[in-house]
Amino acid sequence: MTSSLLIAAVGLPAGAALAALPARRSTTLASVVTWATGLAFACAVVLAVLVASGTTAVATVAFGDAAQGLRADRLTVVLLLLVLGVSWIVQRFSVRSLAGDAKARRFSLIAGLLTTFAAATPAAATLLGLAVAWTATSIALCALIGLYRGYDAAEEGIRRTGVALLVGDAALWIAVLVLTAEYGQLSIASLAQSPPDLSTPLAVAVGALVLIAACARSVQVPFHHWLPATLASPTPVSALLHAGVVNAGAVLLLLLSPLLTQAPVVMWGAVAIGAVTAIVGTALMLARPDIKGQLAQSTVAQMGFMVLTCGLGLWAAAVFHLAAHGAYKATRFLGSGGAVAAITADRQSGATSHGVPLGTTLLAALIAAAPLAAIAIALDLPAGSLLLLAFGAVALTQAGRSWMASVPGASGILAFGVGSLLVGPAYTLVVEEFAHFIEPAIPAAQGALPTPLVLIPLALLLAALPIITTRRSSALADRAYVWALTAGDGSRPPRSRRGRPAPTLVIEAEGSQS
Amino acid sequence: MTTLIPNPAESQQRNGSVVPSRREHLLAEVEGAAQIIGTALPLTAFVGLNPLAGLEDMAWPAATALAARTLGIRTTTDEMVLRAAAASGRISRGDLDATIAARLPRAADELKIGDRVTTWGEVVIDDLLSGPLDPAPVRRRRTLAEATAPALAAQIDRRTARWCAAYTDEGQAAWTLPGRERGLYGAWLALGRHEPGIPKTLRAALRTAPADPVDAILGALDHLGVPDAEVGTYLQTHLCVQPGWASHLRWREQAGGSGVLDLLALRLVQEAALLPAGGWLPSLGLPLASDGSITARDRAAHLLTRWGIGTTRSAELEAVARALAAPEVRRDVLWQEAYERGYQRVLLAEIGDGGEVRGPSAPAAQVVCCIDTRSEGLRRNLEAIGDYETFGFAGFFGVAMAYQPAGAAEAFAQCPVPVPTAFTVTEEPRERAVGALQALVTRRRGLRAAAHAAHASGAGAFPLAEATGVVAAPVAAARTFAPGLVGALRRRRPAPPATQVSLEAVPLEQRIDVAEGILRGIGIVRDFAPLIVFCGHESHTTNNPYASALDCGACGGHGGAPNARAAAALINDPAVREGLASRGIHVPDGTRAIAAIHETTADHLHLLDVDTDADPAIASLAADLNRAGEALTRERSASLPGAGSRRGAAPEVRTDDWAQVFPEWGLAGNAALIVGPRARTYGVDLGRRTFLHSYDAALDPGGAVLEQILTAPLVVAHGLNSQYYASAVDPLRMGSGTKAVHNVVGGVGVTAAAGGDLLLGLPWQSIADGDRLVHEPMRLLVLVEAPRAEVDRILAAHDNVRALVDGEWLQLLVRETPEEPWQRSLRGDWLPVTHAA
Repeated sequence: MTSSLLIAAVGLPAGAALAALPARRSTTLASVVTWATGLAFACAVVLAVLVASGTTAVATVAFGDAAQGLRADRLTVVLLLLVLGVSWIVQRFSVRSLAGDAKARRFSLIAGLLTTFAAATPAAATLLGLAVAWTATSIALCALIGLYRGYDAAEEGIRRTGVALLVGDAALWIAVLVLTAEYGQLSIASLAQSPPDLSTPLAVAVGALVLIAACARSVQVPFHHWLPATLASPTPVSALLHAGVVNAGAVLLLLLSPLLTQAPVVMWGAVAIGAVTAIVGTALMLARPDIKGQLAQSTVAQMGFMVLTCGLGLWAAAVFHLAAHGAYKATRFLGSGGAVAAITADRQSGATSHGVPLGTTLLAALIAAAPLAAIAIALDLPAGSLLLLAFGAVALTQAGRSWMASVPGASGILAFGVGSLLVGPAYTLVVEEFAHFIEPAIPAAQGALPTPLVLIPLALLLAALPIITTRRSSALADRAYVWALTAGDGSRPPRSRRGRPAPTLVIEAEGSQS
Repeated sequence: MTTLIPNPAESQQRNGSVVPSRREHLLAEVEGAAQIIGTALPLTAFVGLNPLAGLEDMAWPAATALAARTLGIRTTTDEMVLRAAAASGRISRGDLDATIAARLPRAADELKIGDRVTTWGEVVIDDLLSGPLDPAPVRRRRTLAEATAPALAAQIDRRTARWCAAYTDEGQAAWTLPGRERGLYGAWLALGRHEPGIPKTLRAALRTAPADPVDAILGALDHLGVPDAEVGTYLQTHLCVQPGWASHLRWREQAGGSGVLDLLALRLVQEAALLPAGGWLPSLGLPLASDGSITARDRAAHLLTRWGIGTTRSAELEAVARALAAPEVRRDVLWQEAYERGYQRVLLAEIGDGGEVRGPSAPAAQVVCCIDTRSEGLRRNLEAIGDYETFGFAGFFGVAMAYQPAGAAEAFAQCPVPVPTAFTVTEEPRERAVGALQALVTRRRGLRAAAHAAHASGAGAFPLAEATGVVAAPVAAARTFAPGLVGALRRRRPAPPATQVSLEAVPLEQRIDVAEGILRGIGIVRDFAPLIVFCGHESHTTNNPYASALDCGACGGHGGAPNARAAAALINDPAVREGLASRGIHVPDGTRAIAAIHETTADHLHLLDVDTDADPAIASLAADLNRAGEALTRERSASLPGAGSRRGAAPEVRTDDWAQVFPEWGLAGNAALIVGPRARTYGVDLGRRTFLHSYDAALDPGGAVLEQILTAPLVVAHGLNSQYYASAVDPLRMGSGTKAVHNVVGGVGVTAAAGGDLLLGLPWQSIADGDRLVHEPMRLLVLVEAPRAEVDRILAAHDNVRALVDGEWLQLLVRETPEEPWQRSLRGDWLPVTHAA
């Protein structure tokens, strides 16, 4: 039963897309794929219940020296729910938003395929299967980004995405082939239970290759330029991409973590790259004047945070982040047409965040931190979770000080207090419940670096950003702004050498202007 | 090309290192060059304007030819669409014949081709129907960088677009352009050198470039070696590379910001820094042959082959080619005119001579609607339900105000774009609601400030995305799978605090003036019904950057409720009524003015500021309005894409459906403005394609009301019509293409990717369904029932309107009485209009 559910959950979207391909009307194809994805989601829900009660779903056939196919544990079902749920919503959205569009048919077909490939990635039973699903996802993604090939920007998008993913996929395949040559077919399950003991050079090499693959897919610096270049594709494509494709880097790191942790330097690398990406993405996001560019750069930052938590071995936090952020970002993309109304509402509300007294800030910090601290003590949370909660406290504090500056007096404080009391603990409980649920399916937290050593400086650096971005003008702030503005739109920096004009033929004069 | 004379006082003040005459000359050249560029309003108040408005002092055929080769845009309807229209009978043979007869002086000249006798006109028509298609227009002139170093040109475009986006941002970025107050060019000059990887020569140029954009442009032109005689053309070429940003800056300049002068400085300083000195090429125009133009000889050969004669006999080839080469043969213009003639023929037949008196004699209410084409549907359905007399009037109802909604931080113009605001009106809470409103405003401000602070909080953004994501998933699912339910929940939210819109702060005399203007303008000065309803309109859509394009154009792209409320309050004001009486308008005590609003997406109609149950007359009015709205929805549903086939596609649901790209058709289909008594069109289904302005010449002996109509509502309707026209004839360059890839920039416009030029006009989904154009692009047909002498006097007094009529930007037909045939105004003459099917 579980195996058929698993096969249905992964295979239905692509299966339906191929089966309905002969349908003449694009709306028929869209409906069929949408319903199939919905059915796949339903299967994933049932599967999740079954898996939660203790079984692991396996659907494999013997192939060579390994059992190829699919398997699902608690981690897999979470990712299946995310990918299938978002894909279902996005496809249903597209039935209306791409109505009448010449590319609607192509979108439905490729979106169905992409959904299956993205779902198969975390559900693959073997390393080889994972790599196949991974590359199939890359190819489907390039096809989706190229939907509107007429536009120059779309061409640029395919090219940049193609190059980045090619590098990443090549790295992954080299790693997989090396491991397979050395140890035969590796199943994901055996990797977790009894990973092969790698020699140090091999561990570093394999780890570095896997990290490159994860970074290329999850838009880490220096691969962060391809994501904004994809914005020439239709809105639903962006929603799918940001929710179900870019975050696969964390899945790869997690599934291969038994190998990666054998080379601490790789984990340090993940931490460093993630931290840099988080800061760069945040800065670029703040300077974007376009809504989708802002969302894309925000994803870059969020993916940096995700890879960082992976590097720290905070696997539960990383998975929660990738899932919740995926849902968040897909929603923001689908709703990005509301940007005009939002800006009008902002202006008309007269909201401003300038000139908040220090006392208000301190009070906000106190009100934000107290409930979080209380529940952390009550649940006896480890240091890693505690620090991540501190990030939450920063968000609440910032929101609270602006709120209290706008709503002065006791009523403002009271409202924020109630809000903080509800939001902080609720968030903590959700995160902890999730961590508890996912625990059996993920490696124990084993970072190569002490968490506080990384997170505290990162928080401070990020906190320093608004100091730069809101300063009126200074040499440093000006420089930083122009860098962020220029780097954020995904266009290549110009060649620094002076352009040499090509020799030009003298063109004959234009005819009389009538 | 027009050149404006610069203000001498201003040029004295800004006199820099350059001799004043050269400076003035350049400013004039810039102004002249910019005429090819339209004015793109921000999406927050997106009102349709003619993108070629700057060329309106030229005749339309010449202006479109100029725009086609300068901007590389299509300016008339696609020939494939027109041939299909000819095949279906939408363009009849008579339409083509009449067009040719009117346009081509030698249309009837005979030609003998082999054993076939034909005429010049026949030859031209045959070519229109079966000849080779004209190639798509291309931009003829290139910039130096485009001609000599395309990679550098692309770099210049990208950089320019990036700085334009940063400069024009109205609040998207949290990190804003430092020193924005220095202007576009000034900010770039101060900061541009920090750009990573910037070419060294450009960095050096940024250090030495003059602070004044005029000096900077002059320096760059000198460096490039642009001859004085070519300056205007060359500046125009630069503006036409990215017309989107140029058009938006044209608006921004009017709003007190940087304009195209800064844009040109930004572009030319780059070009001068990146290209060698003195690199000017004598001609940057593309050779004419390269655009694949088809010569008259080619066409003649094609026709002869088609007729089975062959092209061997050169005398006949020459003869046919001569007919096709006649200077009057602009194929696109002939086609366009025939297309418009086809619509005109049907419309005039539908209206007929209005012989019998139509309409109710003692109406229960007089309902005044906007001239908007959607009001035609409402009025027709309402009249079919009960004894209602309806009127059409510009939807700002003559109240040219700056309006500040209750609790809003800013006031905005709530009147047509060309009309200056006369006073500011603030929406006030009713007495019992003052506290509630204050609380609401504070809460709203606090929530928005808090949301922004949390998003920009650096470290906080990560848990924020998580926390929001947990909630976002079910919300996204609900909005996608059950938009109707989301809408039902939204409607069940508590009503906002009660408010009022009153003009009490405006001096009484001015109030009386406005009220008199309204009643005389509409033509209600006697025979008042017990109720006068001012029915504004607004659109409710979600997730739609083009929402304001669906609102009331006469209210500056906002909803029309405030003006309806203000007008009703004014007419109900006892002091105003007293003043009106002294001016000969006696509003009976039993007459009450009521404001209403028509939500055009779902055709919901609401009475405003009244207790519907208190008065049976009002209750019955409300019920009839609802029934009219329901009838109108049924009527509209048939033409909405996806209606009836799936749940979630009903008009009512579209209001709250974030996935819906066809919330309503807006003004799609608009084609004519009819100025005259409603009796002439009463009971005629005009298909929501006509602007209707009420006018009764008998009540307007001096012609003042007509003058007002022909100078304001006509211009507004022409602007809206032109916007739909341009978006439909060139959907990618004058329209904004498909909504699927739109990316909102700075809250002011959209681009098709992460950067690049701002997209102009309306999206494809506003004018077409799939590959089928829903909007038939036609220049506005204006029908006026009024004395021709009055019309002549008004045209003589208003150059801008006369330019529209004489330049054929629109077509003006006038008749003095319903019995008389329509006559067309053409450069001072009146020509009777006849139509044969």
